[in-house]
Amino acid sequence: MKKTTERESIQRIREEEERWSKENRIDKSANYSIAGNIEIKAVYTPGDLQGTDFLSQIGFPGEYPYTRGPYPEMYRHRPWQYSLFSGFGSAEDTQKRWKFLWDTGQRAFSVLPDLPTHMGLDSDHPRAEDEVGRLGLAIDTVEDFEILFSGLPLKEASFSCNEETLAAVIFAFVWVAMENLGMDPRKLRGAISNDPLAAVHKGTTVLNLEGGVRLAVDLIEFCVRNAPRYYPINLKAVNLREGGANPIQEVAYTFSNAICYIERALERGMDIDDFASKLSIFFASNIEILEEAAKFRAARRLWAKMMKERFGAKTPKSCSLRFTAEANPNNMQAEEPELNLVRAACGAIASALGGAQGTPHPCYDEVYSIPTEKSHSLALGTVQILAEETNITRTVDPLAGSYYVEYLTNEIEKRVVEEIKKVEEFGGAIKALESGYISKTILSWFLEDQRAIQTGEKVVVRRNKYRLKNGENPWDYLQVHELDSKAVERQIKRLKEVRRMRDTQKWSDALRNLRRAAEGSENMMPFIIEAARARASFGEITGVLKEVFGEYHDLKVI
Amino acid sequence: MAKLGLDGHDLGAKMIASFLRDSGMEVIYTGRHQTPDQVVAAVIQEGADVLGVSILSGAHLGLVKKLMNKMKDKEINDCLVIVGGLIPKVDRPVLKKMGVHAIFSGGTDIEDVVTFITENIQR
Repeated sequence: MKKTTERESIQRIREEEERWSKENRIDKSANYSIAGNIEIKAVYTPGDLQGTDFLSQIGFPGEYPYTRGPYPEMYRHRPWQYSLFSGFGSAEDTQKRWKFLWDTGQRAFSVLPDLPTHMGLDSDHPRAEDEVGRLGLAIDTVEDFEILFSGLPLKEASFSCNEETLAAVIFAFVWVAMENLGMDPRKLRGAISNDPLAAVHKGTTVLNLEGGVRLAVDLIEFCVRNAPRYYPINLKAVNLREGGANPIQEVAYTFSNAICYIERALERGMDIDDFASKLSIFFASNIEILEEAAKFRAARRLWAKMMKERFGAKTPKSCSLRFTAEANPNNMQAEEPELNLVRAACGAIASALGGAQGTPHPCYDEVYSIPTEKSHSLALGTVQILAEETNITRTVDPLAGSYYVEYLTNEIEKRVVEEIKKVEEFGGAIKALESGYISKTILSWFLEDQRAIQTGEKVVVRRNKYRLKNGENPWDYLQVHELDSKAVERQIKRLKEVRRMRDTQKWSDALRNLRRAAEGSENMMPFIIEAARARASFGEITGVLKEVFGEYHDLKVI
Repeated sequence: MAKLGLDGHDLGAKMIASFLRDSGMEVIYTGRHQTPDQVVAAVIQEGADVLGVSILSGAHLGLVKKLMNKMKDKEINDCLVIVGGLIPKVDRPVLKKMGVHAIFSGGTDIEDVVTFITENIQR
């Protein structure tokens, strides 16, 4: 019998697909498309994967191009890290919640600063009024971290922080607080956002973009040399998604931002293999499980190629992307909020199927309030059930080989590459952001998506379909988190006390030295740490940086 | 349309601005991080008939109070003030008492906003 070649066999599959479509009257005009206008067929076959080579494009986990995951056995022996973040009031309040999460099985301490901190304003600044400790932890001086860390088993856990623009200042505070508490900051594990370019989408870009990027690269360089276990940049892809982006835009613009930081680090003479393995990403996982899982696989493969082919990375660790992925908070709805438990679980399934290393997880009531202990418990329990009850962790990359998922992985990668090229045509991430191109492209996708919800073409259960006729108003029965006004008073009192007690000479010298470093080209980290030691406040240190680099002015894209 | 305070979440504001524009209104968006003074200055400069303020941070009581006081100081009486965002039920009468004309939150049908504006516009 004649042996059929692969080409002949694919040809035959395509003919059979055609026959099947006709016989079953498959409606090819039905336009089921997903983000980025990728059209979805009724079935996929090997015919859709022609040219996809198993060994070089899919391969084995823990090996180039890492499509299937950064580690050989992934979750088989240890699930992903539970990494819910929290932050509210002053350090005492946040520590209490951290302890609750620790007692419930989380081994990561992760904080979200309040809005004044994000903007580099001290708690007693007039513009901070009404916002101190409301949506995150109020941070003013090293003392806040001394209280936050005091008595915590930081050696057994990691510390992470969601701060994009002023991460370097936070890290300096953490550094000094640990020293003062007799802990060794050089051994610290965890990750910090440190991604000022992604802050544009969240509205927390404090410094002009060039200044922000320099500060970010200073922190990367400092950590690579002094805190080698720490991930000094955790690119905030989730900000793009929360800012309305689709998954292709999310990956493309995050990679463009990464390219910017990497190029700046290389310009300083750093070696790609010294820091590439310290770059990580914080993605969002939307409710569309299969698309998101494919996105993660595509992102890992493209990252590996980019590191090897574009930046000449040589070590395997430099090429394997590690990321956390949070079910997209934008999927949370106001109507019958308990259903958000299901929506968030779908996102977390996508993160698990896509091979995430950590799962921050949104709370079902976050449309109404920052999490209560109860909603945090439900969120943590959700990812714990997925990891430890469902068996999806028992084999690595279970979706590999699915004609659809592999097709989607290829297609998403291709479209991400095209979008990165567009950013490069502007001259890279900073220029593309400053031109408004990125924000406008995201907004136009977002408005299209919202119009589809308004018209009912895109279903959101309870919001535009299956509405409750006589549903209770969630405000009437939800236990929402209330801001404790005493925490605000305590915070402002503590800040004033630190200002009163510090050595004024040391303080002014430290800020002057920082200014000089910022005006020059030295790494600013040692100077920020010195200022933190001299008990300079968050707002004072940021104030110096703002004066030297200039402030960022929000672009109006509408 | 204005984002008042330090909260940068402005998707909702941009969406409403865009949809109102589609319905034939002229809409000016101030951008993020506006102080009450800046917002009132924009209302005066643009001669706005309607002011939409978006706040998702929970800081609405303090911020809107400052805004409404400033509006009174400047004797702006004919501008419809609408607050959008995350406003607990118990705070709604408080905002109304301060002089806010309407409060809309997430999930609101855009037609309801358009109808409210056209029926209540004061000049």
